[in-house]
Parts: sequence; C-alpha cells; structure tokens
Amino acid sequence: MKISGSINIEASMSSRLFFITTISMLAAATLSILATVVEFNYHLRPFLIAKTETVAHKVKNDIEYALSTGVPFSKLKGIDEFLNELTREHLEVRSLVVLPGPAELKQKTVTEEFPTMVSRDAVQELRKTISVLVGSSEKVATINSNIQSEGVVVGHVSADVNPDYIVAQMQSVFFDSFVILVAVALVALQVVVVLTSFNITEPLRRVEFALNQRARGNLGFYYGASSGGVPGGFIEQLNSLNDNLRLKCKALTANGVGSALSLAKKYRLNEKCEQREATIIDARIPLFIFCVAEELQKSFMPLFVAEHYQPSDFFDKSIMIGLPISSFMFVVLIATPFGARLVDTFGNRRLFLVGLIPAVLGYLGCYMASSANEIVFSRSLTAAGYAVITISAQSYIAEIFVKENRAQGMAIFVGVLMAATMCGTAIGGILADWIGYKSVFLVSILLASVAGVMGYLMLSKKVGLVQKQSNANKVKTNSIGILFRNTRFVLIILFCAIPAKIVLTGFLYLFVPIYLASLDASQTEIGRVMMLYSLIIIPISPLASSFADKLNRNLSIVIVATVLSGITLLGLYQSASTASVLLVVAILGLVHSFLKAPLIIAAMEAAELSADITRTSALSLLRTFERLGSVAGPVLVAVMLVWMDFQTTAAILGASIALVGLMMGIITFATRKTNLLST
Amino acid sequence: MYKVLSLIIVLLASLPTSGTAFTVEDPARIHMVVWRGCESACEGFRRFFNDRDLPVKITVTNVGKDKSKLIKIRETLIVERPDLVVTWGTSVSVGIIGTIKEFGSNTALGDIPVLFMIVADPVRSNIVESYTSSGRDFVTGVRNRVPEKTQIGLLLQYFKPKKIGVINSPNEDNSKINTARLKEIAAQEEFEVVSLEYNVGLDGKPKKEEIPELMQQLRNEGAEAVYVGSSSFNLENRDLFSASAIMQRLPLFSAYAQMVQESGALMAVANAYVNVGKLAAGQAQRILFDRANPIDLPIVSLSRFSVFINANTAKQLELYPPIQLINIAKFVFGIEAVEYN
Repeated sequence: MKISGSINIEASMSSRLFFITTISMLAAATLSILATVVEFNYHLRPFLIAKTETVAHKVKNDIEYALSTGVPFSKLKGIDEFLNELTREHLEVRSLVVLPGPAELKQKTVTEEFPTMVSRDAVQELRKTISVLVGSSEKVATINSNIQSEGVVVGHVSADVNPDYIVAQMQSVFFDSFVILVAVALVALQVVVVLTSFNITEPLRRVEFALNQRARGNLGFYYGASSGGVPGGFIEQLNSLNDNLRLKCKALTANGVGSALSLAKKYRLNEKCEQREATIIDARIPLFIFCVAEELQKSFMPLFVAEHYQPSDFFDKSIMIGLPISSFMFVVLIATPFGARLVDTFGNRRLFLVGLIPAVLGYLGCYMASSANEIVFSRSLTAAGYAVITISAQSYIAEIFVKENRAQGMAIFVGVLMAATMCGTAIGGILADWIGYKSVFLVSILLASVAGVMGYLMLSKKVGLVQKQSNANKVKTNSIGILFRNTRFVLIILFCAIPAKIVLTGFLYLFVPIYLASLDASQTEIGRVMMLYSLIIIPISPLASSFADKLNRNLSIVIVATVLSGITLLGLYQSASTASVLLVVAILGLVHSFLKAPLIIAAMEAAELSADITRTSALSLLRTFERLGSVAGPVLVAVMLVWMDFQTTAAILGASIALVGLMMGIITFATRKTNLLST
Repeated sequence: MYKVLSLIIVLLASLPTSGTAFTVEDPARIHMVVWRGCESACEGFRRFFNDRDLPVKITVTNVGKDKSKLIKIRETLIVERPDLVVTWGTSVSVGIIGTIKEFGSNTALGDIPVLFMIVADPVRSNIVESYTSSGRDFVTGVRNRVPEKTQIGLLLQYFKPKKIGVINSPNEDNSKINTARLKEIAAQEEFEVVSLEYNVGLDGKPKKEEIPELMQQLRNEGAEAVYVGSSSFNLENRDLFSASAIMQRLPLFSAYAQMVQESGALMAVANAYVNVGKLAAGQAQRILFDRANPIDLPIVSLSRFSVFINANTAKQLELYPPIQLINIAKFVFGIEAVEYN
C-alpha cells in the first residue's frame, strides 16, 4: 500500500496548477490593487482640498475676531504657535502662513489640477497615482483666504495641501490591499490544493492504484468505483471484468476444476484491495483556518496587555507585556507530550475538536479580560488547545504518509503553519486597526468554530485509533542522558537553536510590536512588518535548504546564520524608524531561512555521533529545547527593557547572539582541528 | 397593640413631608439678600427656576453695600421664616448667618436653611468647616474661585513678566495665604514676587490713598504686572487700584471678574457670575424640592471658568493678548479706567 508513485502525478499536477493559480492571482491582485489605489487617489484629493480650505478659513475667522477686539494686525501675538499647532493637528495641511496684504490672484486657482468626473482619463489617473505612490508628488495646491478688518483687506492666510500626507495615505492603502490580497491568495491556494486533490489527483490516484494492482496480477476488487466520474466508471469497468472472471472461476470450481481455485488464489480474485480513504487534504484546511485564528493576535498582543495592565497584576508592566507569549510557549511545551499520548486514546478527529474548546475559551477570556493577569491566563488556556490541535494535525499527517514520504508530509504541515502565520499576523493587524484589539478575539472565535466544523466534516474518524505502536516519538529518559554527553549536540542546542528562538519570540513577537508602537506606527503597519518575516521565509526557506544540501556544510551555515542574525539586530542601534525595523525584520527573515533546515540536519548529524540514538528522539529533544528558548525569549527581552531603552536592548541582544555564534564557530573549528590531528 | 401603634406613628413621622410639597399656589419662598443689587449671579439664580417652571417666589433684599443694615434684615428673616435664605458675598453671609466661631453648627437664623454664594473663601471666612460639608446643620453654599495655578498659567500665556507685584492689606489673612501660594507657583514658573502692604490708619483700616504710591513702588522695584488674587480691600477700591496700575503702565491681573468688567483690570480668570448663580440654584432645588439636608451637600464649584479681558486696557497699555487667549476670552469693551489725580 504505497502512495509514493501517485505523488508524482500530484506533484506534476499541483506544480502546474499552482503556477496557473499564482499567475492568475497575481494578475487579479495587481489589477485590483491598482483600481483601489487609483479610486482612492481620485477621491482623496478633493477631500484634502476641502479640509485645507476649512483650516485656512478657521485661521481667517479667528484672526478677524482678534482684530475685532481691537488688536492691530501688526500686533497679533502667538500666531506662529497657533499655526504650528493647527498644522500638527491637521496632517492634511503642510504649511500655514499669515502674511500682510491681500493674496496674489494667481495663487487662487487651485482646482484646475483636479479634473472633474467627466474629464477623467483612466491612463492619466493611473500615471498620477503611480507617481504619488512612488513619492514624487505633483504641484502642491495652495489655498488663500483674505483677512479683513473693518472692510479692508489687511492680510491673508495661505495654506498648502500636504503632498506627503497623500503619499502616506496612498501607500497605506496600497500596502493594506497588498496584504489582504496576499492573504486571500494564500487562502485561495489552500482551497485550490484541496479541490484539486478531491476532484483530480485523488480519483487519478485510485485509477493508478487499480492499474498498478492489475499490472501486478491482482485481479480482485479495486476500491474507488463508487467515487463517480470517468475515473470511478473506469474502476467499475475493471471491477466488473474481474467480477466476470470471479464468476467464471466459481463456476469452474463448482464444476470440479481444481486448478481454478489455485488460479483464483494466484490472481487474488476474491481479495478486496482497500486503501485508506484518509488524505492529508483532510487536515489541511481545518488546521489552516485554526492557525489563522490563532495568529490574529500576534501583532498586537504586547500592546493589548499594556492597555489592560492593572497595578494589581503579577509583575511590573514591562514584564507583564512579555508574559502572555512566554506562558503560551510554556504551556505548549508542557502540553505537547500529553497531546501526543491523547492522540492514541481519542483519535485525531476527536482530539482536534476537543482542543478547540480550551482554545475558544481562551479567546473568550481575552475578549472579556480586564487585567494583564486575565490575559496571561486566557492565553495559557488557548495554548493548551493549540498544542493539542497541532499535535493532532501533525500526527494525522504523519500517519497518512508512509515513512519515506513523512518528510514531505511535515513540509506540508510546516508550510500550512507558515502561510497561516503570515495571513493571520497581517490580517490581525488590519482588523485591530478597524475594530479594536478585543473584537479581533471574536473573529478568532468565529474562525476557530469554522475550523471545528471543517474538522468535523473532513477529518477521518479512523485515523489515530488504529496504530498503537507509534511510541517512537517518545523520548526515552536514557537517550536524554546520552545526548547530553554529546558535546556537539548540546552546543548546537545552546548556541544556535535556543538563540534563534529567543530572537523569534523575544525580538519579533515582543520587541518589534512595542518598539514600532513607540515609533507611532499604526497597528496595520506593525502587522505588515511582522508579516514580512514569514513572507520572506516561505519562499526562501526551500531555496536555502537546497543550497545547504548542495554545499553539504550544514553546521557552518548554522553558525554563520546565527552570527548574522545577531549582527542584524545591531542594525537597530541608533536608527529609530519604522523603515529600519522593517529592514531588520526582512534581513532576519532571510537569515533564518538559511538557519531553519540546516539546523535540524546539523543537530541530527551531531546526534548520530552518539550510538543508540534514534533520529526521532534527537529531533524531539531539539524541539523541546527550542520551545524552552521560545519561553525564555519574551521574558529575557522584557527584563532587558526594564533596564535599558529599545535601541540598547536590541544592540545588546544582537551582540550577545553574534558572540555566542562566534564562540560556537571557534569551538567547532578547534575540535575539528583536534579530530583531524588525532586521525 | 400599643407598640404597633407607636411604630406606625414613628414610621409616618419619618416619611418625607410630602404634604408640604410646593405648588404654584403655595410656592417655595426664597429670600435672597444681596450686597449690591440683583447682578448677574442673582439673575442666573432666578433664571434657573424660571427656565424650569419651578414654583418659587423669590424676594430680593438689597443691602446697598451698607453692613449696618444686616442686623435688621436678620431679624426680619427670623420673623418671616422663608423656606430658604440665599446670601450673596462674604459680608452678607457673615452678617446674616454668623460664623462658626459665633454659632457653632447653628446659625443666627435658627433652623431656616441658608445657601451662600459669591464668597471668595468660605472656609477662611469661618462660614463653613470644609468643602465636603459645611459642618452646620442648615448651611450650604457654592464656591466660585478658580485655582491659583490655573489663573497664573493663563496670566503667563498672556505675557511673561519677570516680576509680579501684589499689594495686600495687613488685616486680610486671605491675601497673605494667596501671596504665599503665588510665591510657590513663582518658584516653579521662574518669576519673582514683589509683595507690599498697606499701612493701617487709626481706624484700623488700610489707607486707600496709598494705592498710587505703592503702585509706583512696585514699578520701581521692577514689577512688570500686578496680581489681585484674594483681597476684598483691593476689590472694593478697584477703580483706584486699576487706574493707578495703568498709570504705572502695569497690567493688572485679577481673580475678580468685576475688576475687568467694572474697572480697568487687564485680565481676570473667574467664574462668570451668572453660572455661579445657576449652580447655587441647583443646590437650592435640592434643598427645596429633593428635601436634601444642607449639611449633607458639599460646597460645590464649577468645573469651568471664564477669562475676561478688558479690550480698552489692552489698547491703553499696548499689551495685546495672544490669539490663543482671544479665542477663549470674554471681551469687555467700553470701560475706561477712571482718572485719579
């Protein structure tokens, strides 16, 4: 019962389908983004002019009132301050000045730059829009308003529309549309994969299976005839041919032809060929939807905690903001082994649904939370659900794939998680801006419920209960002892795996959102910046692993990537801007793409140095320690932030990680030299 | 049976006296005693009841700035027994109800409820114990002073003098406390306070003829503005006081709106009296119609205030307010500072 052969069909089918889907999605995305931005640009401008006019009129009226109280125009005081305050308040206005004498006539005509609906030229608008998007704004519109005192014009207000505001608004709309479209594209891809599988690859796989069986001389009963369509009909035809043979054989046996029986046995005429009906597709959509629900909070969790912090909470505010992430990771760490055991007892489908209960209760808790303590508790509750659900989905996928293809199964599992992280983080940021932090948790509840319904409908009841012998995942206590005596393995864990997770949870999940918020970034912007990490890792990771495979120097790649990730964080020292954070997150995504796969391989290679150690137990130990790093990251960064400012924290964290990487490099180099000398 | 009956009687006695609820035919009788005619606070008080069509009959007795009339008015009130007595100003309030020192938790009017307004500092004037409660069974009132910090903040928004002068009467403790507060603010806001005092005449009263020379002395000592925070004497002599200030080209800032509205002070940060009157009427409504005990009511104050600027004085001194103040101020036109020679 192998499905490896059919994977080739699926692979060729999917790659083509993916290509077509990607191209059509990209085309649709580009067109709709352009349409959105052009429309926005067109409608925004008159609004900006009107707003600037209102501000100019306010200044004119206020000054005219001041003049009416007897203050001479030349003796007006506090005007600069007054105008500066208005400009600060109304970002649509770039500059406001009050000058003596009437306004020059030529400045008054401002509307001619802005065509009416009738004379609107799509191409021209598009050109204009693109020039605005790239920041090269056109002529600035100026509004003038004369100031009168006792019927005489004594001065005028001159207000310029702020072109930077237009650019900022346009870019914001552009990025929002982009993020939504990327998210929609990812969802669409998941749907395409599932539909393709149900309608095309799965029936073809059944046909292929039947043909393979036939080629091997198995003329029994093939499964899949009931699936309908041409492939179903084809299998039915084959089955009816076999039926005929069986009947004939039966008749011959009844007539006393003894060799008929051996023929029937040889060609397995009475055998029913069954293949497990469950496929990886079953788990894919429910897992994706649940993970999106879970990731919605990622871009604002520290800020959400800060907003609801009460003096009565467990710790100081700066520590509390990191605690929900740490407690989440901690509970996942603790609950995962239990989850694995529960799979054997309840089966994957039931466990997936059971896991949703604490997860949804946790979201509800966050929605109703009034203190940071309550948020920490609620997140821990969700974490228990998350651990159970992911382990249930993971083992579901692991069980469906035969051993040699399990790696591919895991790649799909990780791929779904990454896609969900990216969608969830970015959409969560946008949603938080629109409806507020708390309501986002209601969306999470809704999505988790949808995931539950999908899981109930799609997951196979059989999976998980059948196999009881899969105890390989359990780490034997003695293997921990053996691995702890393996210096290289311990060094990889301490100096590479844990620092990488500290950077992920401490820096990306905690530091980035609160630092960006301190730089006045909007929630949407924070979500976008955090999304970039996954956006880079998803496509670069496979390329990086094949590069590492070719180079075959996994440990060296891991060391270099660790050092580089540290150096990347140093980039934030003395450059406080959203752009620099964006750049650092992007580079970090790139560096971590190179770290991801080689780290596992390097750890496995190191584990192989110890005898009696299975890859599974080494991998499981690596995962456990990585999770410890995830727990420690937010706490560590939060403590650092108590004592230091943002930039120093980033610099010290970066320097420490780079140093740890360098140490690892020196130790590896030294031991390798010793090994070479001794051989 | 006897016990049940007595219980019923006690219960009936403790019920609100709904039988005495005021009607159009039998309205609540309010007697208001004012210092200088029915001005804006008095008008605001009346308007409050008019706007709400509440059955009240308001009688106004004008003292006409003559303290000697107060004893007689007090006797009339005791005989008349109105449902509420409203007193306007510190002198009237002290004169009609007496201080805590004199009467303790009672008043000169016995059990007639009293409500005071336009009293600069009721605690220091010994009319009430604290602002949370008067400490007197039948007394409550309203406050109308804006905190000094707010007043000075707005003064500094107008212009930033290096030295601010004050002239106090040695008889007025309020003024001394106010000057001490001004000095605290001066330390934070980086200006100095020049403080002068009137000499007291044989009659024990400060000499008002000293105002012009003290004003000159302030000027000589480098003061760039004059502030009147709490001084009945300066308020009473506001015309001479503001004219002397203008003569020395010193802008006068005050906590009394009258000094801007009726004399030539440049700016005042105070509550508009009409609003103070409405606030007092709100308290009166609670006593008369909600049957609240005066002692249970706090001495409330308005959460907002008004900035008064005298446009003529600004013009005379050529010291115009910044546009930020113009946008919030109430302007007074047409009051020329009285010339004193």
